[in-house]
Amino acid sequence: MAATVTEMKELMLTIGLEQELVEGLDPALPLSGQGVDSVDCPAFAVALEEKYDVKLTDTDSLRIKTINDFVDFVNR
Amino acid sequence: MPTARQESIARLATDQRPLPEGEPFTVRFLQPEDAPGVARLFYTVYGDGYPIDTYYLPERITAVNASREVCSVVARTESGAVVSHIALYRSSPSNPNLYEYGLGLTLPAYRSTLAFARCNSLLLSLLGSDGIDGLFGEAVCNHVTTQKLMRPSGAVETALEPALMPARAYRAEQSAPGRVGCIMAFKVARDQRRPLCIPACYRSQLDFLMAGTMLDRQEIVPDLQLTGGAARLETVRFPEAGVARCSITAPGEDLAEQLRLLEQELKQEAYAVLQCFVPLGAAWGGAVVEQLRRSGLFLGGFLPAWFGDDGLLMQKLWVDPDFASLQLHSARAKQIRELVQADRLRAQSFTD
Repeated sequence: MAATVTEMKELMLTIGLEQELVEGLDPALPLSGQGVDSVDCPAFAVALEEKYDVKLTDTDSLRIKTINDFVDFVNR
Repeated sequence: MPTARQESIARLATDQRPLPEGEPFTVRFLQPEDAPGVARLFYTVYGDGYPIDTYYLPERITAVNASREVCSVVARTESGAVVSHIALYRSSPSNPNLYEYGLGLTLPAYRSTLAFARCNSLLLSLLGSDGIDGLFGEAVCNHVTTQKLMRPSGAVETALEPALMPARAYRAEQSAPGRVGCIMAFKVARDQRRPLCIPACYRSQLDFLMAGTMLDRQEIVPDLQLTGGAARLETVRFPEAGVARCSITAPGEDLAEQLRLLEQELKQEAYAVLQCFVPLGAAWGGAVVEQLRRSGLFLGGFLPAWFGDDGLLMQKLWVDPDFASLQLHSARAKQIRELVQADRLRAQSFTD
């Protein structure tokens, strides 16, 4: 089963991001410009690793900027 | 004669090895060979100003981890440098299975990596096992970063400590013009049904503060009057911080007088904060809370599993808490500020 944008947003809620913020995220735009900051991003990356049993390198974490990027990474 | 702390800091100051940058790291629970790296990390981040000696002393870091007073997780490079650290540790609660969550720090060159988040994830895997029934954190409110770092733990905010920390504790980062408040958040992972006395005066506040804590409680009827005999107060003073923490471990009709004498001493010694911790697992907690209110203390919040049973934090300040300046991240934390501020207004009518 392929990962989806909806799953990514649900995962963001589990690490404590505010629902209003998450609902307003455009999956095609960088998270950093939409109120998801340098504290949120690593926490989300680790939650993603645990949920999908994948491993992000630090290089990956710098390259992956949007929700769509995360979806593509999991589904690759 | 230099102290062990001074000797260790002198050694750290002369360590000329370059700090790692860009080296891969792995994450693990602290091993004895990581302890010198942890001391170096504390020195690198805090200079010689971190208030607790243990974290400059590798042998003590190893010892407190061996005894489970502290459970550290580190991110380390192949060369053995420690680039990030986070821990659960025993601190103020009477319940030895309720650990404080903190001591988080990362080398500047690794703050844009996943080092801290991975440490955090491994540490939180301990929750609910190995005698770690719950955790709590006290996140500073001069910025929201620490509050956000706590969120993956699932802890929910239940108390506010305005003006807890002196401004000088934040001198290095120049982030606090006045005293700094802390928001407390708790997560109890291993719970059992416990009695809970809800003082009538704080029924609505406790309904709000307990929401989301997932605790199984059997409500008991609170006493309205203090029993005869002597109350027992166990006070720990932190003169550098200007804070006194007083656990009320037995009720008694002389509670008001003992409190009056304690406050008198604290004011003479220019303390800023008195905190009282009241057990809510027995009916007498209700009568104690009523007396503390009459003595001019105000609500701090709900402390799940603090004594094993839950506790209530009451407090008195001799400084302006400047509620408006508190930086609070979540809507829940802002609501707690409203509750605490409102009760302080009530209490001010009792203060001299």
